[in-house]
Amino acid sequence: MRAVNLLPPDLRDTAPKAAPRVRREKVEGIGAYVVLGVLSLCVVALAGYVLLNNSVKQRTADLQTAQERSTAASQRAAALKPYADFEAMATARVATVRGLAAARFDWDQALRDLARAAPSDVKLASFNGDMGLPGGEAGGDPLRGSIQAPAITLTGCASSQLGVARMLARIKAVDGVTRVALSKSEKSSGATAGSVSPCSGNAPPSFSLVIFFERSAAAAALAPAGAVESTVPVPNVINEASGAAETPADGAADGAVDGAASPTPAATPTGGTP
Amino acid sequence: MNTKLLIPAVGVVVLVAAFYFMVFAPKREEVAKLDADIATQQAAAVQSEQLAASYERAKANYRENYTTIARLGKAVPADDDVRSLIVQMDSAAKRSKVTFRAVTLAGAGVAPAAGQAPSTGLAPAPGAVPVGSAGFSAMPFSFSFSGSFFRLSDFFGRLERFVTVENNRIDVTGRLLLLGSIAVTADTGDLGKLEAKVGAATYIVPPTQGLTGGASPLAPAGTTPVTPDPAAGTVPTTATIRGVR
Repeated sequence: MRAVNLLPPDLRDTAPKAAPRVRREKVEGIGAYVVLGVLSLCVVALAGYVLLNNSVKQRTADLQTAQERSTAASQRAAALKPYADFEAMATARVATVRGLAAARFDWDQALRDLARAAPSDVKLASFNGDMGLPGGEAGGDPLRGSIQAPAITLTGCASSQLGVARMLARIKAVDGVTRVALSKSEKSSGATAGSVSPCSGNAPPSFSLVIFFERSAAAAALAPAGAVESTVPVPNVINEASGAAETPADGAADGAVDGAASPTPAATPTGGTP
Repeated sequence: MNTKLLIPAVGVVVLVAAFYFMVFAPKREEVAKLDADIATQQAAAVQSEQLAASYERAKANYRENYTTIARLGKAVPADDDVRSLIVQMDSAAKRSKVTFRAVTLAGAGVAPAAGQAPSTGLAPAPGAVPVGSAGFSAMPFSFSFSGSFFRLSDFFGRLERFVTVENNRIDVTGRLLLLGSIAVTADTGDLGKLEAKVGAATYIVPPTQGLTGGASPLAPAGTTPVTPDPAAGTVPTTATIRGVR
């Protein structure tokens, strides 16, 4: 069988050619990625900016709220301040009265104690008590001014010198008495032997002594020695600038007095045993 | 190729840096500053609220405080008030069966200190001696009494009991007297009795404060009084007040 060429005559002489190869397009650069990256960065930056802006707005609002709250509270406090000032004044007034009361000396108790302690053969001629203020009177006894503390100066007579010694010993045992200073104890001389003495015995001695109460709370509550001289008791509580000083505690007062070494009055037989 | 890539990359980096430093960083600083301001304002607000709360308590205690001040005014008055002092002394003397002989103002003739200038239009009480630096004044008196030893002793105790302090309680029934000196001798005019000369001081609150500092029973000075509610009992009465009676 003969082969029949079915191709048109104009195509019969051309040799068959290989199919044209599709040329692959060359990938050039990463421009698209860069653009995408830049766009992504823009989005992120925009998002960050928006978030930050919102945060600023939120915080500004919060700040305003806090300011309003603070202002309202301040106004409320300012409106109520007179009440607080009044309360402070009341507290200060109470402290002042407390301090004044603490500066008092219990004369009633001292008188009763001395009356109980005095022996029966002792007769008192005078009783002078004072608080020992810097500008105060010495109470008539030269020893009185040696210690600035509440003290009582007694003058009187006893039936004998032994009676005076017994008096000193018994008074020293009285609660609160820290020192008993005898100023004198002398028998009446011949010139005055004829004078009437309330004490019995042969020429009964007359005495003068000072009883100190150095640990008294009043001594600590009053202005310390060296302060401005005043015959008026000036308790520490009103000597403070604020006028609202704390009332000194009993213990502190005791400690303060204990710590201060007071001079021993000259020739002070302090309550020797008869 | 490298140059073509490097230039845009550098450009991007520059843009990012510029955005960060020119936009982002200032905003962040603003946020941080706002945070600090908010913290400060909140702390101030809390402090003010606490202060206001404590002041509220002071307001709630106002009635009590006013009564306390008024009661203490009997012990340490705003004026010399010698009349009531004499009445109290005479009454105490009669109860103790002691004769009240004389009273003398020991501070008479003492000029008031410069700091005692009257601020309320009233001069300080004549005879008042300024004491301390807080504006208090003292009225030094000399009293003379006659009686037996133990009655005088009882009388002195009675004077002390005008104002008594027990723990946290202060009882006030009269003027607070500080007996500075006591001199007891035989009474020359009445045998069997003793004569007691007493130096005592009473104290007066600073004239700048006055008794209540200008406060009324309803409200302190500087506030608008609130109309009292009878049901709530906002008007001080004779109630027993904590601490001071």
